[in-house]
Amino acid sequence: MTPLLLTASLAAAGAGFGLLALAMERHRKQLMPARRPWAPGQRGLMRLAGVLLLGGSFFGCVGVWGASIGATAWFGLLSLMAVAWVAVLTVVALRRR
Amino acid sequence: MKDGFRQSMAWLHTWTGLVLGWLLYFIFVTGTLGYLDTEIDRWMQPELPPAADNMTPTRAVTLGHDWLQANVASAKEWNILVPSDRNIPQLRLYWRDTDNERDSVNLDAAGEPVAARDTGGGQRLYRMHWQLHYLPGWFTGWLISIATFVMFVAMVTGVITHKKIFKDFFTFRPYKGQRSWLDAHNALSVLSLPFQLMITYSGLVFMMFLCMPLLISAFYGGGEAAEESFFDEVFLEEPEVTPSGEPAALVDLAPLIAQAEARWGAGRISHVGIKQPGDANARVHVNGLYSAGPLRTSPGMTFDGVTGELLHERAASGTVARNTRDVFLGLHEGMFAGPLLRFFYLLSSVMGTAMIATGLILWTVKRRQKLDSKGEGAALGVALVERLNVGTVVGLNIAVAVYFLANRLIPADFEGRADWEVHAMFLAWAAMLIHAGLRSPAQGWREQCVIAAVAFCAVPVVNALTTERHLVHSLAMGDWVFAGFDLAMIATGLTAAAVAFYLRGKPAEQPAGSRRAANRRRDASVSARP
Repeated sequence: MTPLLLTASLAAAGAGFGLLALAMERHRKQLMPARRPWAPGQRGLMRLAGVLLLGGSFFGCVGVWGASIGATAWFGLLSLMAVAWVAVLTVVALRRR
Repeated sequence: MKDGFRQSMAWLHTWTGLVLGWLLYFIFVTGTLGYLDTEIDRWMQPELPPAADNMTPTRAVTLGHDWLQANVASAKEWNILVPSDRNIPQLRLYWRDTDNERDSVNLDAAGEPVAARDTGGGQRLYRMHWQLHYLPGWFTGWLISIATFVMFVAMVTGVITHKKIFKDFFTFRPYKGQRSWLDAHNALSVLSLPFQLMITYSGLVFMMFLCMPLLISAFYGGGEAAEESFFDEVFLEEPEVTPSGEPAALVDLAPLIAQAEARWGAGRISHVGIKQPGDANARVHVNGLYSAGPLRTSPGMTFDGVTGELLHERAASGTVARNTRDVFLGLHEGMFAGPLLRFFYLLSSVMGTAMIATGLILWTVKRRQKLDSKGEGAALGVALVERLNVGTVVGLNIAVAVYFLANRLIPADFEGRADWEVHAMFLAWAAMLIHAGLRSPAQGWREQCVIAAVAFCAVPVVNALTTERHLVHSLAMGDWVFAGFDLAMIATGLTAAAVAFYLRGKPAEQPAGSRRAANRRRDASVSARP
């Protein structure tokens, strides 16, 4: 159960940050250059889903570690996933050039 | 008005960050290593067996008691550190004799003492995080406190100065000179901001009795006695026991351990302290684990050392005020962190270290570009900062590698070898600062990266040549602390080598370039603009 929940938390945080990045015009251009810009409604929806996924990963961490350690670990997990996205976006942008 | 405010915050951020930047970098490097303190301890004493954390507390206490009884029966205090988790990997005994002299010994699984080389280990390195070295205690206390305040000011002003926290959240634009350094500095700080705020604020909490001594007098009254009663309350000091002078046999410890385990769970015991063993007034203190959660205290039980009667019991959780402090300290030290959480701690603190390094480099890149565009060559301040950056950002890491090398290379019987490990470290750092001063920054960065690559890669090699526990052996034995240490050294060395390779013959890309380099870099960033 715990490894599954942990993987789910990591995936949720990764997907959440991914959606938040994709909702931004600069990163939409990097990740989906062929697509036209999002409509405001679409963008809002992606942001909402992204935030909800990040929130979901919080509860996953609490499930894995318990409330006090889980809350601490959640911040670490967010840093890891955000850094991972920065790396991915940088590499994608370099490849496009 | 608003812009004026932001500008003054930017000014404050720039200058507070610069003035104490190198000291903060030292604090962050040693603090980062502190999250691996007992792992480094173990690597630096290769004579000790791999961790004995599968030993039950009863077994550990029995072995410890038998050795102490047989060898230092007259000591006025015995302590047994029970190998319970990563924080206490070995069965270790320490005691105080009647002259208050402290001594210690490590026991193996059979209860025999293990002779290990004298070393400062990871603890010495970690203590530099708040004690520095070579400086008197009162001075470092204040210096560290001021540096922590400044760090906090730099964090808050940095957030205010950063105009586009959300817009630039995922942004890193490489190969664009100053732009890239700013992006990196921003990303590193923003993405680990909760950790950096927590670590700085809780760092201040550590120093609160030094920084706000008058608060103690306000509530407890002035004078030494009042201060003492306050600290007894905060630090849960067990009171000294006066010996009765009447000899009495010490109670059998095993039932006491069983009682504590029944209370806290099997194996959840970190320390057993015995005051005045062999006296009618003997006391036995049993302490639980610190690693249960961020609250940095352990539950405890005190027994009569002759009858075995439970005298009093203390819960881990105390008053609200003490709990608040203990949670901050616990979060700062992360003793409760298992492997994955420890990795998160490491990642965040490495990001903090890199945040300071990029900030320092950014300061020079900005000014160097301005100087170069005006056609002015050297400004003394910029030149000085450029060289201090090379000698610290790379040089300090080389010094750490030298600390590890010295541990393996100084002969075991060398007088004061533990101190010389540290001297070697600071000599190496001094040498790197001198080297940085003699070379141009471009040469300095490149050459010190080469030196770092060699020094870090040499650590596992020297380890293999001087001990039995080389990397292949560690991997085969599944000794992940040793293997992990060697692999981390290789990874660090290869990273330094990659940077050195990247900087080869390319003055344009080194952090604080020459005039020609800066021009080329500016041209590149102009042409890259859409």
